[in-house]
Amino acid sequence: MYNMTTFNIQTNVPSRHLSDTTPLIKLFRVSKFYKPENPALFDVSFDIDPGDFLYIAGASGAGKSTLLKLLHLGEQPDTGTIQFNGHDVSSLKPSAISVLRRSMGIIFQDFKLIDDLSVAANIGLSLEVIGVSPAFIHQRVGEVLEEVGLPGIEDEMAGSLSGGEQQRVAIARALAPNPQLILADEPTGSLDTYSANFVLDMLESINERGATVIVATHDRMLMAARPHRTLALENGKLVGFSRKGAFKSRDTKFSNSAEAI
Amino acid sequence: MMEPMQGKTIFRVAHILLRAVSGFRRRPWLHAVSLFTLAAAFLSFAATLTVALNLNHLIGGWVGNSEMTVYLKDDTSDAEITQLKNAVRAIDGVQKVQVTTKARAREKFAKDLGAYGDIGSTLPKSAFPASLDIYLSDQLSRDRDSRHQLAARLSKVNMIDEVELYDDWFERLSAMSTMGRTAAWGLGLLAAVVAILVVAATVRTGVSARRKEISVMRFVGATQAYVRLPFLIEGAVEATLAMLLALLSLHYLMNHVDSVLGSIMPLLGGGSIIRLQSTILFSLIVGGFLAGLLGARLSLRKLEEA
Repeated sequence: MYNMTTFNIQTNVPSRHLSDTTPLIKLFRVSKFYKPENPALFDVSFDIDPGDFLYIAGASGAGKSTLLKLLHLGEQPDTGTIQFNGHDVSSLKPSAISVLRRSMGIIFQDFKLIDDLSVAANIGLSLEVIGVSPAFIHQRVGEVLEEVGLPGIEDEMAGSLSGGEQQRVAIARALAPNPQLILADEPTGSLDTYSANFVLDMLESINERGATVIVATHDRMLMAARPHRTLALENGKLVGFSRKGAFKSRDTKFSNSAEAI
Repeated sequence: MMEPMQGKTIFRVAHILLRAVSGFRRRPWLHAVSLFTLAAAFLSFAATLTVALNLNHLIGGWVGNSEMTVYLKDDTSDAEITQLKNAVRAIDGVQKVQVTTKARAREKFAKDLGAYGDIGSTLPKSAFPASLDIYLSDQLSRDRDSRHQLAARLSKVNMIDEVELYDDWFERLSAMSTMGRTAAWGLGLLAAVVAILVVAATVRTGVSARRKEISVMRFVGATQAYVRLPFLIEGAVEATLAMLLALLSLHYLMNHVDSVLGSIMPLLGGGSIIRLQSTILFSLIVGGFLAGLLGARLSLRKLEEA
């Protein structure tokens, strides 16, 4: 059995950035238990440098969503530590967590748009909480809609859009406050191939402009078509890693998965 | 590296206020129903309070001016009246004695009856006897037996026709006044409970309808205060508006009551109808605001747990 406690992904998987850069996110021996006998995450350690594009891969129930929740500070780990820009966030007050979340954008498989609000109001939510002026919100909403290829739909109701359009609006909402980090939970899961490719193009474009992007996915085709650094989870354990597409793992199942990719 | 945006508190406050306003705009009928329900509860409280205050005022008018009145026989001379006044004033426990001559009694009758004052001219001379209004010390006022002993002593004096003690009236009116005050406080308590429950139900409906929005707001970095404040403002503003509506309705109601009962009140000895003083009005508005705030706060308990 692979000994996870000796697994040091930072030394084994250097990011594409210089090694002396302070990691944007550092997880050290993080575990999360919803049931004592069945950890959602167990002894996971890795670093994410600023500007990384990272897949978190794994089947349903592998722990991807739990890991994203921890990264988004929606939950606290039961053991281990999580650092953002070198600061331990485990003891942050709720208000400080809210402030930290403003530097992250989050994208969901089910978009999480408010159907009875306009597109502008949906995108504006992420700017309102920061406290920018209504005039700036109006301007910025126009800009991000342009970026996601949906100019001029500010006044349409979110519920009236197609799935692909809704996901692009969700990306626009995540993009609006210029986040340092984008977390995407199965962002292409509900989309057709064309829309999925568009969404991935968007995420890569955001990443090229300097934002760190973390995508949780179980879609091997997607990872094969657009290779990026990948962490693989299985039953809550980190079982493998790769640079762009080249997996390394001592775990048989994961090796098989990696070959498939 | 992308630079995160910086905001300003003033815009954050503006967005919170706009969110509270949008709560009213997005569910106008629900808020209208709540507003009128609250206003009805507040109006019944304020109206009962007004009635209680008027009862107190009326009773004060009847018994506060003179605690004992001695009516003199028709043939009593002015010299005898003065002599009697001095004798009564010398009694232990009597604070003041005020003489009302026959002429003054007729004038007072005409003045008190206002528009109906002419009735006095049709009445016989004996209908307006001279009298002495006797004001007692607090100690004697409180001692029912001593007052009755004094009345008995006075009634034996030759020139005195009748002694009026007001005891029965006072006791009945005091009971009515106490009942009025109790009813006002009871309704006040009921109105407060109704306000809290109605606001809590309204805000809870809003929270429930906006649950997804609230969860998205948290994802994008809204603080607990940012999420809760619009609902608290919504509840407090709604209850305050309802109280203002209730007080405005009471004002018009009192105008109507004044036009109907205003001329009768002097006949009852209470002067004009009194209205809620500005300090009471202010307290009621603050009370409405607090009840709304408390109702909204209660409905947000589950939001905190979520």
